Amino acid sequence: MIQGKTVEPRQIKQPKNETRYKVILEAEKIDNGICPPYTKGLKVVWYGGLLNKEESDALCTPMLCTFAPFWRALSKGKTPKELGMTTDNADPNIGYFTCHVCPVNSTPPRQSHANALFKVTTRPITEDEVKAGKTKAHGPMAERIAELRKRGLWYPPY
Amino acid sequence: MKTLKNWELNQLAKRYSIVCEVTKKNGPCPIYNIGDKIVIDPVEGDPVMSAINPEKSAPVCIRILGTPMMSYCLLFQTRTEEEMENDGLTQKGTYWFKCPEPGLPYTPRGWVQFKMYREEVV
Repeated sequence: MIQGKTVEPRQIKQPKNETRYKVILEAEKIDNGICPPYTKGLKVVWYGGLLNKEESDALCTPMLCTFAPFWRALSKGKTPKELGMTTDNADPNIGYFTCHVCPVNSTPPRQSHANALFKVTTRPITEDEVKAGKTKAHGPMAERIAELRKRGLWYPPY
Repeated sequence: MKTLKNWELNQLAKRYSIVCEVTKKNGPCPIYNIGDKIVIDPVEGDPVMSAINPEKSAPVCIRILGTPMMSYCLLFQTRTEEEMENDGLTQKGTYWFKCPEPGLPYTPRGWVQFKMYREEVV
């Protein structure tokens, strides 16, 4: 009998039970002019890493790029206060962010349009939202991902 | 013989450095003062790559990396003079942007305005 080396069964790394957050950007104020995509009250909504197109009113690509450095920490549960998006005495769960467009009067004429101020709020994603498929990948690999997740081989947990 | 497209001819002829200069501060900022510059230079030995030059630049705030600074860099480096003159938001080859801080009363830090333009590398 060949005395072989004992092989340990493959260790499957289980995903951590990490809570993901819903991130909501809501246009609070359009400063001094017209912003093409946003008026007061329009929203952009993420469930963790997924931008929800049904709940989002308008998607301005340059604004989304400007927001990108904040999005990851917010979707993982950091409060706007921790990211410096609000003042010391204000509600730590409500932050503020503006797009990159310079306010109209700060540049030479016709070099800028209105600057948009957004209110940023976050809250944990609920089980009902997970069951409703809000956090599910909807691409062609959705079924394969669901199967891998069931076997503990997919990251993140949802 | 390969026919070169407009952008290829443009790149063979001229290369540009992009300068982002702080022109206005609307409140306190711990990083930038008026006149500070971020300079993006073309990389030698490659026709399209460019990088921030740390020797000529002020520190780069992580929060402005998502702004159109990055996308306008590529646009400014590949556009002809005529295209630069005729574009709406980049009239006369200048683009203005600000950092994402709202300033008082929403955040304790104020916003910083940058003027972005290009300079031909000789």
